[in-house]
Amino acid sequence: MEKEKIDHIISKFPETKGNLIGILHEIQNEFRYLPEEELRYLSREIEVPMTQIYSIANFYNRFSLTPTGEHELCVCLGTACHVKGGQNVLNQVKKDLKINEEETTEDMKFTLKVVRCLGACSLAPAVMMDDETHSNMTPDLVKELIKSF
Amino acid sequence: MKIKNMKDLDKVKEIGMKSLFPKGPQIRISMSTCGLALGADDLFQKITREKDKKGIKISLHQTGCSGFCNLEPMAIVKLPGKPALLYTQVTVENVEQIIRDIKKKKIPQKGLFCMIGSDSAAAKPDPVLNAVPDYRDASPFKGQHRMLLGNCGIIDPLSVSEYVAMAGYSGLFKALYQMRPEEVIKEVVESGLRGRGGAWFPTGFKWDMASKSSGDEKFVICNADEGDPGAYKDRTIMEGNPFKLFEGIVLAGYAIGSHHGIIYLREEYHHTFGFLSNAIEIAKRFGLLGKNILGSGFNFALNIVRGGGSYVCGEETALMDSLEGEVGDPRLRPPFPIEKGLWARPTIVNNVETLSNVPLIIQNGGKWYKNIGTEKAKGTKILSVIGNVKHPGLYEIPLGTNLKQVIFEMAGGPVNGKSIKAVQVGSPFGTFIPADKLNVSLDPESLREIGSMIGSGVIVALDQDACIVDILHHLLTFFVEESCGKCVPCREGVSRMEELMIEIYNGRAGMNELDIINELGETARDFSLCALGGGAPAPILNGIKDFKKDFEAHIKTGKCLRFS
Ligand SMILES: Cc1cc2nc3c(=O)[nH]c(=O)nc-3n(C[C@H](O)[C@H](O)[C@H](O)COP(=O)(O)O)c2cc1C
Ligand code: SF4
Ligand code: FES
Repeated sequence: MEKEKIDHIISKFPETKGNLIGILHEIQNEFRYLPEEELRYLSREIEVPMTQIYSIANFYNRFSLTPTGEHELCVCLGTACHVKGGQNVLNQVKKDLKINEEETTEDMKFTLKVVRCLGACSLAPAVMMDDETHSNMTPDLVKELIKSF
Repeated sequence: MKIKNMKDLDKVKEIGMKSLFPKGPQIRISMSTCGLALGADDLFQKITREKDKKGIKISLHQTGCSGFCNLEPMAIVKLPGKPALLYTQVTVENVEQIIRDIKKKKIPQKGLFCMIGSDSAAAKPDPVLNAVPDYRDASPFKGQHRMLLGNCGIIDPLSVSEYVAMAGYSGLFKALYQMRPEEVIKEVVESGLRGRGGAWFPTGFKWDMASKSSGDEKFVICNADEGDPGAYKDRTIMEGNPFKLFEGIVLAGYAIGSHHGIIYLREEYHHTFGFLSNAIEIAKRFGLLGKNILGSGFNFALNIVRGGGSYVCGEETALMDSLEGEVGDPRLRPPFPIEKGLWARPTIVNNVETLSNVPLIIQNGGKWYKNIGTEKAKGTKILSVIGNVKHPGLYEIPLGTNLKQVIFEMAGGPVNGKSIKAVQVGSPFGTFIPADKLNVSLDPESLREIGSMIGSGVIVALDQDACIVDILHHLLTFFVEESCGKCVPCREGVSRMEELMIEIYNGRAGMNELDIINELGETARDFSLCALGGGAPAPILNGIKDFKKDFEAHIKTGKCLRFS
């Protein structure tokens, strides 16, 4: 277990109880998921029961309890993207990566997520690879995008 | 430097004027989420390299987004003695020519879109510019009243001095030095400002009640969860003019007697998070946040908390749960947040757009503000027009503007010679208005009269190829995914509606199932705990009523009009 990393994350928050989601964000970013052992340690350190940590991890889309891939590909199916053919983009991604939403490729390279708006609606359909938004997507373009990683 | 008095503010203003109206040539590149998605970063670097190579002095700045992402990357070129010129869809390939032209004191032609501030004193008439419209006459800016978005895409969003040069912080200065908190509230009440997050609750009234609640601590929460799919107006304000929002938040704090503000930010806004954190640090350095703001003795701390990617957390009571580190589900009211909100302290929750109106109200007075809009809905509203129109984008219009005008004139109408079939105002909860009924005023009252709503201002235009069954199915999927599951009418009812809609979509169900959807919808509408379950049925029930043909096609043939 990587105790020091958790200690370091906790130390960034002056007040821990109200920042539980913020702490989980940092753990998710650090490990690309929320590892169980580390969560147990966190639970003891900040005195929040495991059940609460679990219910939060399950409730919020951002968090994952299983390891995710090196890259996170979010395909937008918000209304603007739906109207402009976001579903076709998603279908292409599923075909290329051979996974469904919320799944990770076997080589642990990509995790696929579906989101409901990236705030780039006048560039629909949009996808986000890690922190970067890509716009006016087509099945061909998303194929190329995946290849470039 | 910290701004401690009027003299300091004037000094900063002067710096801002110099940077907005420079003696030498200047280029501004729009670099928010959308600009970056279209290559603004490469553009910025290319210009930097090219001007250094050619050895000419050009000051280079970043700006935010003006709301028309499909015209990005945008650039503003300002040459001495000429008005600022806006260029659209500027590519790396254009750069060499632009720099060459600037060197020869010529106006670059490629991508030239319009002039900005052609009436400013620095601008002399120029024959080359005769055919170039001012931005107030150039579609898609024509017909807008950009008092909130006006700075977005023009000023450097992280430059305090440029914001101050655009009258920024004059409202807060006035309030802190010349007005008592009650007087600030009085102006906001007088202005008639109502919440822009969707519920249109009178802002001044909320503040008045919160100011009268007693508590050792009070909170101002800025709702930046911006969850309605299709909305990005709050993001545009935050990335285009963050100090205007901060000014509004501090004004709210001063008015109700709070010293602590929190921006609850949508999880998906990764770029915005870093950007805003940066802006907060800058504001602190200038003495605009933190201790002794503007030298007045008033203290106010502001921080950002990121959401976890849950739509229902945009609902104010669920939002507070989320801030307390809990699963976000809506609370029963009373108690109201203004009495017992975050950590059981008096709390006001206001939307980004709502708060951004406040500096203008304090600066110019509630009376001035009241002149804009309709009898019951004052000011402007930022609409996010998406779907099948020529110019999707953000349109800031005076409340009361006609919907037809927005769709056909401002947004350019449908593309490829098609016709408009329906328009959903107030997506996702508003109803689909059939094409022959679009002659309606955009304000909460007029829309309620026809059974719809304005919500947060997302407008979805659908053309003849769209199918209402398909889009209603899409909306239901969204509602089911985002329901928190706390109450039965929403958890069970809406998901059952979705299942039945899928059956209808695939031609496996008939009129009976439509009746069941109607019944379930009425129950969810009347008995849900929060506005998610309560609001979800409206577009569905009305869609079934108004677009029978689409349903018949699915029921009879199992075929979607969209793909036929
Ligand atoms: C399901 C649901 C989602 C909401 N999402 C948002 C949101 O993303 N942003 C927002 O400002 N208000 C949202 N609201 C409205 C808030 O509950 C609240 O009315 C608003 O933040 C108050 O601010 P205002 O008066 O300035 O509009 C949502 C409401 C519901 C029921
Ligand atoms: S209406 Fe839906 S989202 Fe709102 S409390 Fe009930 S289950 Fe949760
Ligand atoms: S709906 Fe896809 S970016 Fe907004």
